[in-house]
Amino acid sequence: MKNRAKIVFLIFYVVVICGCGVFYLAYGRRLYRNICTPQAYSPITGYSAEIVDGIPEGYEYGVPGYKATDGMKVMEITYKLRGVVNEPIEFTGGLCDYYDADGECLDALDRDPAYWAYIDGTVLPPGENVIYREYVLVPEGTESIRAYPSMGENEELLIEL
Amino acid sequence: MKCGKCGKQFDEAVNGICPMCGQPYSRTGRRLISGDRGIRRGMVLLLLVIAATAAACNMKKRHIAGLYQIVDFESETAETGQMFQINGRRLKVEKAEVVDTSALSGMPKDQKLIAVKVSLMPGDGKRSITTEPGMIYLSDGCICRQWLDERTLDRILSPGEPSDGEEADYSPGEVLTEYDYADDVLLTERRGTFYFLMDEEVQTASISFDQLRREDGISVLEKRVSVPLSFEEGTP
Repeated sequence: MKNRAKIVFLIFYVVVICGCGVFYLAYGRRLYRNICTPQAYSPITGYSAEIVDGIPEGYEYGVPGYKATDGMKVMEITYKLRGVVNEPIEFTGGLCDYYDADGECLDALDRDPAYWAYIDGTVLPPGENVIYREYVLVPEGTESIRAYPSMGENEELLIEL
Repeated sequence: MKCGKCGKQFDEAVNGICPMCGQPYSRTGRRLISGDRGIRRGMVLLLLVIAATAAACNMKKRHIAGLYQIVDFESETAETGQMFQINGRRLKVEKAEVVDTSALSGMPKDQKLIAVKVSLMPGDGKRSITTEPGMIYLSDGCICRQWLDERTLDRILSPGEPSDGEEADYSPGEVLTEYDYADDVLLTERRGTFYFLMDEEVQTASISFDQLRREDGISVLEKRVSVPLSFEEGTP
């Protein structure tokens, strides 16, 4: 009886120790997925905005006719980005989601595929600084909008003209 | 023999355990560890193993995060015509010129084609097994552009409508890619050209070559050599 109890406890110890080993290996693998991704870190170090005349070259309103564009203006948002991780990052659009003061979603302009056919997205090597621009359709008279970056902590940015 | 637990005297040849408290004894007379104590020690050991696992996981997380997030590398600048060492190779950037693409139909609007001529030579020593070639890119301080691959270059360099009876054509020569310069076997000198697209108004830029170090499954930027360039107008 005592021997049987000893054997049971021995098996229990071995199972727990092996379980710890398996956990450590699985955790390590998950770490690479969760930590080693540029999406987890925001490269934005600064931003500014201004209203520009019309839709700039190389950009288009993705869904013409879906929303009325009368009375809308194009806000050019210029971001300063820095490569903060040991991995080059490529931006092809959609750095942030944009909302007006009432919480209504604002549309960003899409890149014209024909114009950008030979140009890769903006690439951001580690340690480098680049300028990146996005264009957002805003109602006339808008003084500020809110942006939520798709990378990093998703902290709200207040973008003012 | 005297029991170590209750002090009762008994003959161990007759009784294997103390007749008073039941404490077992080994043949050598030492008091055996009771079953309960053994289990307790085992549980303490298990808790230590679990705590050690948790500590090891935390340390690994910090190590991996540090490797990935901390961008700290050796930065070097070289002049055109100056030899430098990177990725186990010796390189020399000879010159950069703007390719005349006025007669070519595939050129994107508001862009110019920059040709950077480079010489590659075997390095002084053997490349470390943890060293990996990184990016090659052109930067003007505002944007960074990677080299054009041969397929993209072919589309850009497709000739336009011939005018004045002359065929518009541009021969790119030996087009270099990152793979050429990262090739493990480089026995003799090679010369070729990296091609980049840049905005029309850019007059100066720098070409950078990155060297990576593989550590714990992560490619860490170890060294970057940048060569400032000013563009000459080339001939077709």
